[in-house]
Amino acid sequence: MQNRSEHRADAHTQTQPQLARRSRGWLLLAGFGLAAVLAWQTSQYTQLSWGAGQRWDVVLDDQHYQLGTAQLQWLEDFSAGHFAADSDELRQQLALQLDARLDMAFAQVVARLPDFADWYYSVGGEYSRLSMTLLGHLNVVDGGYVARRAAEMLFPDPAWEGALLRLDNDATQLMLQQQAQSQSAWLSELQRRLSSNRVPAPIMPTADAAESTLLLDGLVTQIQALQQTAMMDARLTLSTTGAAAVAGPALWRAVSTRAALKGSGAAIAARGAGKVATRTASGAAAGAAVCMPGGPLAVACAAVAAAGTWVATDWLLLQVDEALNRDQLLAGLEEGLAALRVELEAELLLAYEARIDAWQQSANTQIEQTFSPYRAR
Amino acid sequence: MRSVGAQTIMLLVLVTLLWLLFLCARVWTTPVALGLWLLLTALVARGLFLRARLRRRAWLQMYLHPASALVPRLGGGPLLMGMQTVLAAALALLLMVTMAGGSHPQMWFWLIGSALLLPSLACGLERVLAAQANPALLAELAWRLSGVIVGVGLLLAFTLQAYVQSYPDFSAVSLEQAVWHLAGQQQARSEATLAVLQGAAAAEGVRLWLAQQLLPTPAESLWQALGWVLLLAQEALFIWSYLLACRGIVMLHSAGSSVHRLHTREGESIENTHAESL
Repeated sequence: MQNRSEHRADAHTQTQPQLARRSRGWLLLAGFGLAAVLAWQTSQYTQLSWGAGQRWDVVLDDQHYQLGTAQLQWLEDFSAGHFAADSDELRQQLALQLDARLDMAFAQVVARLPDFADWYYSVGGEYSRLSMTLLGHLNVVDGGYVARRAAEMLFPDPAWEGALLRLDNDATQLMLQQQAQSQSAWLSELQRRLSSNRVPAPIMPTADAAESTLLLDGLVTQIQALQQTAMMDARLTLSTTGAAAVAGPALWRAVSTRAALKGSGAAIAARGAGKVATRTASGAAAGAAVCMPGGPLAVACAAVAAAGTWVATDWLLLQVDEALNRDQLLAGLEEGLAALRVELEAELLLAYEARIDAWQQSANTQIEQTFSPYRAR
Repeated sequence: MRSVGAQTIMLLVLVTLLWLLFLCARVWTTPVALGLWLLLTALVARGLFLRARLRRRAWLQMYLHPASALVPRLGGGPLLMGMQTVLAAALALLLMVTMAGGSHPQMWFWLIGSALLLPSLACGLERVLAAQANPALLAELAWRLSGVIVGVGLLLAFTLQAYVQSYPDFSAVSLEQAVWHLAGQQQARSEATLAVLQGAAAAEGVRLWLAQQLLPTPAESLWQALGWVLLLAQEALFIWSYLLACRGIVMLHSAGSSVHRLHTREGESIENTHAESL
């Protein structure tokens, strides 16, 4: 019994190292198996990549900047917003400048009003009006003589056209100057804001790199070309309202309308009829009285005396008319000029704004064309 | 003492961890990266701390009286551990960056081979040195010798691989372009990982640019080739940190055995000295 238990104990002590050796062997085998699996796996997989979004290589003035898609969108918004804001500012400046220049131009016209009134109430003026009216009725000349005369006197060709030309030149210069400043400020601001994203030029340009490269230099060139085009197109923006041939009749129409509204037209007509009756009566009476003893020369004498009396009567009546109605005429003319000025200013502003809008629209188109291919990706 | 098989498996687990780290480095989140960094730091710190304590013990035994009160105080405590942890954090970061930065396929075969070889070699050396080495430190000595042998082998292999590897041509570009070329290619989900990878890529760019500017044609002379080899010596740091991590993971369950045995022998020695003096 005791021998059997000793034998069992010996067997047990002999089995322990064997088991340990066997387990170590299994572990080693498992290790080799694991190594083989690991070696196989490492050859099967590559590193997982992380796509952090498209990066764009923006080139501006030979400097490279790296931007994300969101930054690119910001760049587009900033560019469009910048030119829109500058266009608004330009409109305001232009309106102020236009106001000042028109004030100057119309002040000169107002200064010419007394000359026109002097002509209007002169004998020569009266007779030329009558002659032109008569010729107009006979279809020898066109009507509207007074309006044409008003245009000649109030809007004289070199002075008025020159004033409008200067006004237009100043406006064009202001626009070009402001647009150039706007471009310069846009470029500087762009470079300032991009500076934090500056990167060196890529060393190996590839096809992928070319696809993700945005040449802002191209946009700058295109916008500068717009500037050149604007300079080429800086032609006179004289409005139809501002043309002397139109301004004069328009002004006289305004005066006539005002006079008609106030009932002066009937008075003027009555005055004309009265003048004719008075002149005829007084001329005939004067001729008969002065030349009655003249014998055979009495007829010629009567004609001369009647003509003299006719002119003298006219002059006298015109003096009376002037004394009564000159202020009213001048007031009407000034009122008409004010209306003409408002109309002219509105028309010029519209024309300049159209130019500004066209420029801004062109700039926006260039900006959109530059950025849209990248926005689509 | 664990068996060779168990140690092999543990080392293979470490290599697997490093491989997973390589695979997922670009897509992991910052907390995951931080956790892995702490784990690797702990493993490397374990290996470093053991070596530091052994060095400290050897110094103390050499210069101080065994009964000195300074011996237990200077034996290596939290301060030493803190210093080694800082070094370990840097080495673990280097290990992670090297792994995450991409690797050539042969590297995994060498690392797997080293995981298979290290325990077997240590076991063999342990038997060879059994008659000559201090029994308390026999296993540590065998492990360190095998680590040196495997490390030199890995260094040679990596250096050779780096030598024949093709690099971007930076000979005609500026340093800034070279740095950006490599740093700009880095992408990662985690911002922290991306920053570290970009920093490492920038350093790589500086290294390659300098190498190509100063040593334009590496194959022309032996000196130039040697210069390249020196420039590639950073591989040594990677291998060192890898071997420390290996030591750390192997020590997980036989932790501090060498130091413990050394402590025991020191205690016995002190007691004997005390008895003799009495």
